Amino acid sequence: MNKKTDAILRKLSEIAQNPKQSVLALMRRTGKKAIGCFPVYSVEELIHAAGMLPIGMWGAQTDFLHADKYLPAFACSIMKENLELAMRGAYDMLSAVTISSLCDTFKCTMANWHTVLGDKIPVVPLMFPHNRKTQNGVDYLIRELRSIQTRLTEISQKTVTDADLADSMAIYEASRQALREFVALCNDYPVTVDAKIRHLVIKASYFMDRGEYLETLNELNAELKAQPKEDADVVKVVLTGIIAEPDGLLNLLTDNRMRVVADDLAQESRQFRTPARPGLRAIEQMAYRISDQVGCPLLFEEQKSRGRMLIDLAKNNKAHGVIVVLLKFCDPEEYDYPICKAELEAAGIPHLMIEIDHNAKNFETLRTRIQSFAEILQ
Amino acid sequence: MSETKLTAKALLNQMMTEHYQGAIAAKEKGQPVAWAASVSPQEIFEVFDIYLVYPENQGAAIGARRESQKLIEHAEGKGYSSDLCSYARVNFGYADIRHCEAENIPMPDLLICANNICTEIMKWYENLAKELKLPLIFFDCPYSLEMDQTENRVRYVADQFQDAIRQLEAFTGKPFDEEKFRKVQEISNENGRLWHSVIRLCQNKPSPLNGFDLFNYMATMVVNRGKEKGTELYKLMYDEFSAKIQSGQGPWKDREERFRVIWEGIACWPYLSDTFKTLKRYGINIVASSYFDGWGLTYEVGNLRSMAAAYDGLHLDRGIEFKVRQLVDWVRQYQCDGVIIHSNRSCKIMDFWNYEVQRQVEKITGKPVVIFDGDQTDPRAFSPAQFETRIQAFAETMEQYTTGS
Repeated sequence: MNKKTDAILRKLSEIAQNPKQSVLALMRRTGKKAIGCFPVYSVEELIHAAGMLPIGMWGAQTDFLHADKYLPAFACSIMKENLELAMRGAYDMLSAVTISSLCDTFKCTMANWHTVLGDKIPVVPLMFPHNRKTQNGVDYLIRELRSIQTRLTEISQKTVTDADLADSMAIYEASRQALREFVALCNDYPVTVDAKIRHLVIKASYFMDRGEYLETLNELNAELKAQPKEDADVVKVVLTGIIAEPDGLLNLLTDNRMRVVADDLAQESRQFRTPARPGLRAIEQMAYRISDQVGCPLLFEEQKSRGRMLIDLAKNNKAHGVIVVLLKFCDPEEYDYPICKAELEAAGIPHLMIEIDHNAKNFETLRTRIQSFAEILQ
Repeated sequence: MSETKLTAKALLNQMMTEHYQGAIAAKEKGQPVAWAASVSPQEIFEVFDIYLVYPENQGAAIGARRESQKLIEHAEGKGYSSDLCSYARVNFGYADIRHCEAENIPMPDLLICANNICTEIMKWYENLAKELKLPLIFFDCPYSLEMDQTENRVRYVADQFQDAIRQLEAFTGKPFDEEKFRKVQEISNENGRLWHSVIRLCQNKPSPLNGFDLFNYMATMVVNRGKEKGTELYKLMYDEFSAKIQSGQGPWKDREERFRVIWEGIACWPYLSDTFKTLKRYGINIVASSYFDGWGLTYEVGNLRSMAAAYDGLHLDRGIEFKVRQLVDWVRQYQCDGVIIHSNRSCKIMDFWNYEVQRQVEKITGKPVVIFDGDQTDPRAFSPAQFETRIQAFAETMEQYTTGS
């Protein structure tokens, strides 16, 4: 690895592993307000156009002192972590949070947040449509986005013109293109980019100014392309699920010579795999990006194309197998699993399903299962 | 209707038998049969003569007759997590096995879903559509965090009604009959009003009904909301229970109503008898529940936006403030001594606000609120002994509140 590549990877990894310091430094440097964006989808372009910083809120490990008073033991660990950290004051720098209503846990987390934290950090609700393929669904979302835009401008005190939004959309589209290029490049550089580094490079996008992130990622991609392709004896896997964290999980993959050649993770490729439709106004492009997304369990899809998509991802990237990283208590993922399982089996693609708790600290059981899977795939 | 006057309970049983037999007969004669989510806009489908059956209703019946576990285990064998809704797991099992002793329903030609009761049901029907290779008409009813519904969201639901009408015209090859639609809307509203008037009889002290009766009667409100035979039953119920009030009868013949409570959540169907007996032992009567209330939809006939607002306005599609206000109002209107909340392992939308609702309702009303763990249909997730212990302590607390000690 050359020095420049090493420096870029170090910079992005540090940002991704120290979100709070990164965000506070960014706020100080830019003087901008920050808006927390709950998984899985938000309105980053609108927040950016309103002169604010969209910040990803994908949880962080913590003990539960407060969240258990709002959510029971069988609730999503990321939602509990977000509530807990907010009640401990970790998100006091945020001017608001966006939470969608795409699943029941989001709805209830939104309701709890609004009740207990709403005076301090208000919720901007995102009622994305599930009937998103019809013209009525798209029109509804465009109107809904306009009302969210009004709410955000009240918080930022900056008027957003269509030109501002188009500028932000251009930056986000370019960064999504760069991310698609990066994940494709990872397959050619399995030594330089292991599973954890791949994840951290993507994760850094949530805690940086998007223009700056785009610039850094373009540099990284250029540096990677300038180097000779790397040949390594690795086990190639596709990851699918909400999130491939905590980091201990990805370390297990690396320990077993596994590399991620493609992903269908909500925190990763689901954010950037769907490009905006060209030739539309930016607000319409935002709506159609939700409409055009396929294979996401959080968005209604009668054809349920996720299984087919995973088969294609595995075949196109010459993967040895698929790991279903099932976030415990995530019902949209749990409903998809039996369908994907049957389709993967019918296609002869080996898969391993592992249940993860985002707040878990011990991985010994997972170690054995991942080790066995790696051995089978070799 | 025969000339011999039936009791409401006998009519209920007759109607439910007719409903299930009618579904099988409809299928045999080629009438389209749809599996529908419980608060789907049935009015639209009645117009097209589509026979609706409700897997949630069937799931409750299967649970109550203690047959759910084998179907649940079949679904879990396919990879469905035990964390998922047990109605869904029962239905996935039934969709494969296609037979049960409790209550059979014909396989559908069409699927109908509305997510105004939860989002899980959307995933459930998405899977059915995929597995059974059937068309699915889905009504997306946006959540309202605020007390008021927004115009944009109501319009979106009304637009989906129009989309569904076009889909059904294509599916059935028949044009939409506006006049028939209006008639079904009138019947549905009449039934909604009558249902509410029956529920309100429980405001009388003592209540003429025990809440478990309403759990049973509710089944007809699911299947007969848009039918004239429903009207017949709700009128009969109203007359019968009014007569009980006149004669001073309470919920039970052999025990007095000692405490009046709200039951929040679905019944534990496999343990209906256990929960009934335990509550009765302490003289605790269920007089209100949002579960009863949810099917009494009313709106302005002929106004699609008004109908959309009703379907998008259910308490399960609203924030905590709405929920708390509803419970607080009922505690006062129904003169309740406390609230029992079923922490239903199947149902995240009903569970994940309970702790805050409990705190707020207790604070505002000064009445105790107890939460117990259970499940609507999975018999493995409920312990009668734990329920008894919890209810015993709850009764003692209500006693202390009542006597002021």
